[in-house]
Amino acid sequence: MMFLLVLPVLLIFFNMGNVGIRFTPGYDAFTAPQSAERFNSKYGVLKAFKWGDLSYVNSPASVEHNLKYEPSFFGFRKIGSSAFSLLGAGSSLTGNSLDVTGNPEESYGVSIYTDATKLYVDVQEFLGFSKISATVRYYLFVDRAQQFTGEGGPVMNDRAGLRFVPAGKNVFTAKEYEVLFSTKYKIIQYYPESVKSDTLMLPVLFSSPLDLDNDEYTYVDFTHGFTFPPFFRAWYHTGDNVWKEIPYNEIGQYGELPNDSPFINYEISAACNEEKIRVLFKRRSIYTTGSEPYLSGIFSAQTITVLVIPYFVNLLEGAN
Amino acid sequence: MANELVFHPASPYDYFASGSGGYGESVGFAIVGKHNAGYEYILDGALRFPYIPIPQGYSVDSAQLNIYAEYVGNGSGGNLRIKMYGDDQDNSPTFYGNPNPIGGRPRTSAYATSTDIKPSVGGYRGIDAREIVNEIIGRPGWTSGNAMSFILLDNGSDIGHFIDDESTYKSRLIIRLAAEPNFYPTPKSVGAPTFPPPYNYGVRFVAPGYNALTSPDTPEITLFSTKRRCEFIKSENVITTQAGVDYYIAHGIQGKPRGEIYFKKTGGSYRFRGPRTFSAIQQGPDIVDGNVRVTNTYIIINTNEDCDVYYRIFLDKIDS
Repeated sequence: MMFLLVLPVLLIFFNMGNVGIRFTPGYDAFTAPQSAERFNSKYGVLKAFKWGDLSYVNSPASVEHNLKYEPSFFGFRKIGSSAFSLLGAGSSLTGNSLDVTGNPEESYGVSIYTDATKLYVDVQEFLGFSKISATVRYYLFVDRAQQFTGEGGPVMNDRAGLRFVPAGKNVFTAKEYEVLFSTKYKIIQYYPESVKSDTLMLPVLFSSPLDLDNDEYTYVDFTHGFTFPPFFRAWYHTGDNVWKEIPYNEIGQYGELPNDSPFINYEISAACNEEKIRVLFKRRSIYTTGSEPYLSGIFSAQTITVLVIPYFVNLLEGAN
Repeated sequence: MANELVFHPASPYDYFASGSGGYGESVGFAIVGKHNAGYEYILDGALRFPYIPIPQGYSVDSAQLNIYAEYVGNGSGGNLRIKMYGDDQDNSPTFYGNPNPIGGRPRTSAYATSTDIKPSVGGYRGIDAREIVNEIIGRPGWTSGNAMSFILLDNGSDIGHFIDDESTYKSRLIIRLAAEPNFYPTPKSVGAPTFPPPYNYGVRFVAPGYNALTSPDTPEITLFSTKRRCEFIKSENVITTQAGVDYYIAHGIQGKPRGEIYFKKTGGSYRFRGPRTFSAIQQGPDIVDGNVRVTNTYIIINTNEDCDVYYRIFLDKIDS
């Protein structure tokens, strides 16, 4: 590994109570706010050590990590050749909606999960639809996703590089999952300038005996400025300033139902390609004349604020 | 998109029937027309619709009363003829213990007539109710949320032509407030960010085999660079959740921090990453949903099963 170290505006401080390294380009490192930091050895960061693609065809797919604990992870479902959608909720991007490639796409029932030895991609039956095939780009982190203090973590094969550990730990013997930062791993970084938000106005939506099935789709496209489909996260709030991470899918029913059909569907999902991140909304209301009468689900008018953060990680990058 | 409001009777006391001769009066069903041969009662009825959320003085674009045909007469070749008035009161009371709607209540000056063959069982007879509805809503004493009733008088139906709804709650009042066209919200787009200009100072770590001074700055080559910001981990911990309960965790950040949660069902084998909402999915024994909401003070964790939840809070905020 090679590294470049040019130090016109670097602070390495060893004053009483202030030990470590802090980078704050353009600011006095002694007084800069935390928001100006590009790095601070006091804090840990997420450390990706393994990434690649897993494909579900007719049975769950898995990859071994053998960390002996359940690690943090992230997954994106691959759409076509160069687009990716967030996982975590059933996505029915069909009909009038478009994925970022311009083709309708579905992500029903795609799940990603882990245990102490493997990461899995699975597809469950969703709303009675047939199981689909799915390829997932996964990222496995050294960082834990469970309370664990035993022996485990990636094996450190060589001692080259830079490594920070918490106060009180030995930098040579600390467990990998205790490490705050290490040049052996990919660090998920972002440009603060990339954080973008916008608002959408969604009207009242409902169905009636004269108009039985209504849905609407709309989206916000964020041009991310990279030349690759980026690792990203997205959030939304509905005017209450309580942020919720995307994706989200709600399927609700009203009244006493003669069958299991959904009657409202409220879904927020997101996908990216080499050009943009699209945050997509879908609302659907069905009025049924089954054996019992009842009103359709009614969606109030909403103002929704969405926010995306693309990271400097290429989802098409070769596996590690 | 539909823009009609649909209302139904809510109790048997919202139904009234009376007839000539020995037919008598009753709540619990609404009937209008002329009974079958051998009986030939002249039948009158009333339907009441509670909670009409339309403000006083509003002029609706259209309104229609649909009488549901649970039973119909056995006549053929004739017509069911109906004359309909409104109960001209600010807030129409139920038909139980209150003045008889046929002879004991004031009627609107507006009325509507309907002449047609009787509907089939399971169908509807629709009557234009716009003028009646607007007259009632135009009363100075009308208040949004009040109830309105419709008085249904036989208007010379042929023998064996009647319609009868016996508290099915399928009769409906359909009101369109305004002739709004259906439309889809307009998508939006947000332009690319302006990245900081390149500079030749800082720290950069590159993948093995690459020259840190000369290799391009791509995600595949650069493992870490002070040109971009890391997400700093403030704290990590675990909680045990009960299904459906919100858990409030003070994050201590001024603003709304990014975070993540990983959860495993109590006694389960697999750990999932939030958010996760697959409410309609076929749930296996280990499948679990969970989400987190972020306010200025708390992260709020919720899972749909009892879980072990590992959470991580970052210094970096969602919206700054």
